[in-house]
Amino acid sequence: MPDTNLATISAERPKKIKRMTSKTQRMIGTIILWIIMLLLTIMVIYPLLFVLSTSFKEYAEFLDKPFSLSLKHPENYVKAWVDGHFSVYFFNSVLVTGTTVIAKVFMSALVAYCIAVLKIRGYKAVIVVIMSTMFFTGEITGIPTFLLVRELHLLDSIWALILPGLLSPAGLGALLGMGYAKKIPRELHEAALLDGAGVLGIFWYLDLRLMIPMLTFIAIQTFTSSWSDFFWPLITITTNESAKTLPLGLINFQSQNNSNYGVLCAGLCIMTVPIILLYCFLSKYFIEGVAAGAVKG
Amino acid sequence: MINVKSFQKRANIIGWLLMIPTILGILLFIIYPVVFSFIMSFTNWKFVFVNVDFIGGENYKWLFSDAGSQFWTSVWTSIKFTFISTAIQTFLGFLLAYVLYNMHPKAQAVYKVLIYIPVLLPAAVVSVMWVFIFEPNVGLVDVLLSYIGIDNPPLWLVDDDIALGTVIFVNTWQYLGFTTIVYFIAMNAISRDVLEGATIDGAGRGMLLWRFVLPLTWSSTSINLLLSIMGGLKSFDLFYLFTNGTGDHGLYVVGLFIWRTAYKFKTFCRAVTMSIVLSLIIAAISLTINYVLGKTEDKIDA
Repeated sequence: MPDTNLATISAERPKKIKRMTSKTQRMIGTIILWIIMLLLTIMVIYPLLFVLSTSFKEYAEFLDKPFSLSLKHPENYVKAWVDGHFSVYFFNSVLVTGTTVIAKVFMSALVAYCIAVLKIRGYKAVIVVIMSTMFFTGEITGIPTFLLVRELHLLDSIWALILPGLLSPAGLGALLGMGYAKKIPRELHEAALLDGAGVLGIFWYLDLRLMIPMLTFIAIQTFTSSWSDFFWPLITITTNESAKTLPLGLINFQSQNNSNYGVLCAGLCIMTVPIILLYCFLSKYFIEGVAAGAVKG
Repeated sequence: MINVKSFQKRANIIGWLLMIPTILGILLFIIYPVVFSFIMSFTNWKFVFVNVDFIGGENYKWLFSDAGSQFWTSVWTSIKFTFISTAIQTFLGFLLAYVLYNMHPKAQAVYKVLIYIPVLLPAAVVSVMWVFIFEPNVGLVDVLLSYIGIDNPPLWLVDDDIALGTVIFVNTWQYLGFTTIVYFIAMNAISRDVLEGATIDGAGRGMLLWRFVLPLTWSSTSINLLLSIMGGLKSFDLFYLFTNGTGDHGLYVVGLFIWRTAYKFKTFCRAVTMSIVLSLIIAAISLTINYVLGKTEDKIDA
């Protein structure tokens, strides 16, 4: 299709003078585009910087000079961490997210190994089942899962968050892992087999290690979604302060310290820093992951 | 060779043992909930599990009667939100990706990383941050407006006519980076020769975008539209957070409606019924869009 188009365009090739004007037009267009880009960049980044700078200010200082940059009041962070119970929320978030990430990575790797490498009997059916699980999202499964957790008497405890994190199936992760594991050369497995490695040995020493790039991506995806999860904690942790994770804790804190902007922004930063740190070191995986997820989606 | 056969046998047994956690997870968190939801939509289950009786299709009848009209109003709010924000996000994302594509590689590398940051932020962070920025009088927006002489700005999150627009803005702010990156990756896959050839032959920038870049990244358009629409129809977090769970100020979306039916009004049977209907609506809309986009793609390929 591009070829035919090229032909029609070259047939109506414009005159030289016309090209000159179109050149200046293009210049103006480029400048306008750059201005738009600049504005959009400011809009994307500035709010974040604004929150960061406010997190070091006292209330009066914020009202007086909202745009100034200062690092005068780092004690805002201490206030949020100790008085705002962010230490508790942070620990809970680390616990829940940590177990969820480890479980998801291992489950994805195991499923990928069993299906793509071992090709266990009936693996095709398993693929179909895993693919169909992705269709049923939280909208349908939420209420019955809530009931399950309630009947197990886990409501209002951190287990209500850990248990589903540990066991809920890794749909996309497993599929991506399978695609990745399929590309591991057969010869490697045969060599390992000849060297006397068992089923588990091959997984542990060979495939798990070779899958690390894909598993890193799965870990990142799981980390961001689990760290941000708001809905599930909202319905399961209703009163117990000591079981709340950061998203709930932050909302709680906001309702109590509505106008204490400095401390509130400090809380926001505490919650955001782990994600940004991870992103700084692994941004390649995040952005390539968009491509991988998009192709599957 | 004999070894391989006995290995396969062992692999089958150990493989299935290794699958146990996954199978347990699928049973507990997918199959049981789906089947249970479906069955419970035909009962009068309120909150606790006593006196639950089958009442046939009453819940569905209720949903389609006058009494259930509030549900459809909330569905309409969700659809409005979804389609407006999807349109803006896809359009801006495409343009931004194209500008990014034409940038100097070094600027590109930095910009790519920057624009994706908001996508990563938890909804709680985004909402608290924007509530703070939209704060009446002292928030960033009102302060900036007062500098240019607008002293009576509307209440961004409370005014019935404006609140939905504000949420659309915040949502676009958060997810624009995602749309942009998806387009950007697709644009990088276009051979530079095609575009250079067209430019030499005198194609203007608009022509280039419309006749070459847009068709050649069409699959990204499909992905962006589908993901954004599916995500938009389900959206809950921002609306809950901006309205404290009340759904006031014209922000009563369907996600919030179902949540309130279940956990505020304690009528689980109706909530599961609505969940099922909502899932069907989402499936219908995404399949339709997928079909239409697929048709357009065929036309482009032809």
